[in-house]
Amino acid sequence: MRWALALGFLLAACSSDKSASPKPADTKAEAMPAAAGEPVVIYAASSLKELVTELGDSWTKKTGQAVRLQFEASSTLARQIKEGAPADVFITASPEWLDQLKVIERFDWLSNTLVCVVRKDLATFDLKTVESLALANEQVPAGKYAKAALAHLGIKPPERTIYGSNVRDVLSKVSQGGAQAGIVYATDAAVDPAVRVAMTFPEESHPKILYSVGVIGEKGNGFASSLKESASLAAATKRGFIEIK
Amino acid sequence: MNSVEISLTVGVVSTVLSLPLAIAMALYLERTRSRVRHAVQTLIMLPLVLPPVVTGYLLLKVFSPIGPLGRTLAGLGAPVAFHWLGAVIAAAVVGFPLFVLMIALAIKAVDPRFERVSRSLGVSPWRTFWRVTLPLTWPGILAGAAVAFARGLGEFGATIILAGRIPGETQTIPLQIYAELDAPGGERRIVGLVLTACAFCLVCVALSRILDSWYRRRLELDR
Repeated sequence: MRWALALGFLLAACSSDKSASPKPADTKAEAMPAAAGEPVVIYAASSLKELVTELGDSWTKKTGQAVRLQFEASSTLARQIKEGAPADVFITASPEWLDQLKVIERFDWLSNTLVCVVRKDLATFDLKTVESLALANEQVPAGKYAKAALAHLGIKPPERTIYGSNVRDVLSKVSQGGAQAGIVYATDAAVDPAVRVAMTFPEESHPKILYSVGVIGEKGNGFASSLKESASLAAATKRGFIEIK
Repeated sequence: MNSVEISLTVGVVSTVLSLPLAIAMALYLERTRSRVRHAVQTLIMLPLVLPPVVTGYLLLKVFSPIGPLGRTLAGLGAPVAFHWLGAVIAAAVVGFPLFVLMIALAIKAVDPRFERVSRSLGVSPWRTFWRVTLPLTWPGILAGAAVAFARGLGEFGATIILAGRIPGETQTIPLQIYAELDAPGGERRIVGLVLTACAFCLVCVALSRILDSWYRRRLELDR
């Protein structure tokens, strides 16, 4: 009986979540935190895991509004949102994934650096002769940047290329020994003590890495604009992200 | 190799490799009175219910390329984790419980007195198996092989953890479908793969069903 009640509540919560349509008149929502009961749902690129978790925590502390975080490849999240996933804010590692979505507001937020990582115990390394390489799937931003960078440097990926479903998956393939090297962002390399940066790709070798924020639901307005605050940007640069001018 | 070819070779090799082991295990479970067999049976059935990613994770821990076993195997020229052999082992382990279950059912259907008579006439257990048990159970064993093969074809969770997605080497049908589904417009590209997977599995299950009812009729169990 109690179980059925709980299930009923869950279902009710889900359906009200979906039916919450944006109210056009409410322009002040940006400044005012929404009701504490309703969490703001944030979908963010995998590489933002630590940063957005930290910013979400401080947002909750400041406003009392809970956050629900979801980290995956930007391409995966874009597809889920397109199919009706209830995201309020979507932060993608490549702006193109916002183009296909209906957004209330969007802005470019941060940048990053593309690097090649190897396991710490690998002494010598040359990207041209590497036996196996871990890359993100081609449609995943990190995979797209990596492919462009390799092409720009005239390096053909080795026959054994292992694909990860997102950039953190690429990282774990390297630390698990699945590939000699992997191409990830500098900020990813910093969170895994098992790897070291073997080389940094020059900026001009790939399209500029751009994290873009899109507000999908009204509830997301407050959190999204808090990302532009200097404290948020300071937290980002501390973790190795690059402020865009 | 494209993903269909990889799936087929992985399925065939994993089934053939686990066949003798599955027969031995089914014989042990059905024809011994040992107390340990309940524990053994429980252990063997685990991959049937364990989340495949957990199975994959445990296998990766065992065969890790940076662990002692993984290094030794790689030194011997047979690396498992993140290699083709990893996909084979993942498929074999996950299909093993079904394989053993099906063979055990086939053995159960054979009156143990046939084997006892053979043994009492001084025939060795090995010869008894080849001359009595196997001729009576082979359709059931094949039915089990068809199901284990089908399960291996569909393996995803353990494979993506242990073998990873390496196009041309470990990217089986389900792994390719998974990757394509994440790209916009990918749904159009996977129609063929989805139909192929459905067709393979349908054939396997039907084959298993036919073999199963045939040997039961042969043993006059259906009357």
